[in-house]
Amino acid sequence: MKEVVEIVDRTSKDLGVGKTINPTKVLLDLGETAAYPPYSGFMNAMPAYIGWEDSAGIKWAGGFLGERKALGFPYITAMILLIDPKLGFFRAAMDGAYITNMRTGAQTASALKYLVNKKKIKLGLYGAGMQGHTQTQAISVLFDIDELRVYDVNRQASEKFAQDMKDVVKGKIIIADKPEDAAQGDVIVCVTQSKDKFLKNEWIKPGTVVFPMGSYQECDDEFILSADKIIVDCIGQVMHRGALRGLVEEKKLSEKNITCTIGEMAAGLKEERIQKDERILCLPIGTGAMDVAVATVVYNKAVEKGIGGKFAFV
Amino acid sequence: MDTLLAGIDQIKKVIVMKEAVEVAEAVFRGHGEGTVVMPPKINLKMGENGEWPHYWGSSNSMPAYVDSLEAMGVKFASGYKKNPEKGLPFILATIILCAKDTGYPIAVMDGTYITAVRTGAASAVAAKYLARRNPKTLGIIGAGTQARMNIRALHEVFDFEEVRIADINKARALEFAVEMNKELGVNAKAVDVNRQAVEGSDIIVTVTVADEPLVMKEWLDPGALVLSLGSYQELDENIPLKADKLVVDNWEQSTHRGELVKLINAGKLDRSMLYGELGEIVAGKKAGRENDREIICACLIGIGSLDIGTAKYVYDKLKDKDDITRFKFY
Repeated sequence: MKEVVEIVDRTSKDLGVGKTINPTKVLLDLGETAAYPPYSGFMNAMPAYIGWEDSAGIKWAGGFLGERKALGFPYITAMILLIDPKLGFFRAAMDGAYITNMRTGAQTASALKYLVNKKKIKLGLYGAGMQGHTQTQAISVLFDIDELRVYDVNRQASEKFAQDMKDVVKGKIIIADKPEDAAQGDVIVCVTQSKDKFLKNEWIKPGTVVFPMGSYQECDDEFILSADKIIVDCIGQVMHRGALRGLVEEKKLSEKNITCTIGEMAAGLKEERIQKDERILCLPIGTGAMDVAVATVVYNKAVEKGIGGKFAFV
Repeated sequence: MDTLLAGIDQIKKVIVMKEAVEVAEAVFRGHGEGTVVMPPKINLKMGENGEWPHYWGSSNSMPAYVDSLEAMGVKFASGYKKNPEKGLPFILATIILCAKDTGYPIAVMDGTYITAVRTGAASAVAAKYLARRNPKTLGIIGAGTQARMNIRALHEVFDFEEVRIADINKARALEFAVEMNKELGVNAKAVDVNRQAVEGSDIIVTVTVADEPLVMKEWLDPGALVLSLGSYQELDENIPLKADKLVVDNWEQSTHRGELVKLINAGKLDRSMLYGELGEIVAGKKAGRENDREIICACLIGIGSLDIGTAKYVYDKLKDKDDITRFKFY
């Protein structure tokens, strides 16, 4: 995880100065929101070129309820393809779900590096699943988590999380009985599949950075509209997906409300560290660049160690 | 579950051109009937025209879902302009095919051969609906891989009395004629100039990477069908502008690349001048050719749904074979 945080941070810097090419992802809607076809799912194609690694590829990832859930697979499915950017030759195909989970955690950690001033932080976490684990692991690479309050609709999941993370979190892990009890700390991270805007404006105190990482709606509109700063990874993308989408469609929010990108902070072009009286909304929704960057390091290591299989497609 | 891995040699062995044409026809019909989901492709530019990072290449991500073939997936296809001069292929592509309702990757396969086959197959489908009855003469400009796939596919649909082939490199045209006579028993001959391939031909296909007019309007006889394939501008602008019917594979895409983009950007062409998309014609929503005197121009850039549909067809042929490689990604 330490390495993934470094890769993500480095790639973020490159995004800030235009040394990474990351076109807006394209969505194949298979019934997630569209009426047809009826598969309660979607796939995204997310290509990128990474300057510092001189690597290119695509993540092909999506989520399905319905049949996939019935088979016992996790919600997310993902594959990554890498090519040689000089000549276009195929390099590798690999699973992308684990990389997605790792880099999503790392994105939060990397963004926090430029948003808070202290080394010791208190964390509020919504969602004690896989993403809750990787978010916590990644943040603990760069920070000492002094206190962690976790809330999950399934209390057993919170208990398992507390057990799993007891060596990762320096301070105490508190299992919250009510959602509002977890809304305390310097940082609030939401990794749920909620669509019901559970995180209320009045719970969030000044001096807090909030990361709604889910694909749907975790924060209420009042908080989004009253946050002092909105910082994102990719402006084009956040307008169409995730926490801001509804308000953008209602024309209550536009690109003008975005303070800056994480890449601009990482590259030193913008300085937006939180003030005591401020509340910041941060949205690293996830770019193909991060997946391709991490996959490239995985590929290099696999080649070096002779891990994986080889197959000649051409 | 596991994922089937298919290389070009295995794919070549199982594809039957006649069937590939049927697959392409089903894909176009699906477009016309509204049972194909295909967002616009996105382009990752890696110095396509020499800019940073200076690799003279770009990659398209082309996702699609084709209901009638139960096919869902993405093609990741790259074009590298300077590869041919290094003796390397211009097009490189890989396809991930997924289960339509779970997203599970059922296959990863080479996409270069499938791209070539489906491009030829799309021409055959277009010609089936848009060429005059019993076309006897086929003219091809450009004697590369695509030309071979086109003649193979068109040969499945029609019996030509003569095939004329022109290429800026005459030796390539001669070689093509010999090869195709041997393979298909067609009466193929190399001609010296483009005009000789066009005049008197019932179907004219341009498959080059030229960005200049190779076919002039005045060379066309009544009843001609002109097929412009790929992302380049190869026709006298009077052909798309003044044809009796102008047909495309996908209008949205035609506004970004291919034969028509310059005319659209210059304000000379707009959607009102388009007769229809090929899918509407195959699905019977619009008539195809209506008489033997119409001049019809069809511009087929290539659509991802054809790749995914063809990949599913290949997968179905390979999936029960014993000598196939499988890998468990998850």
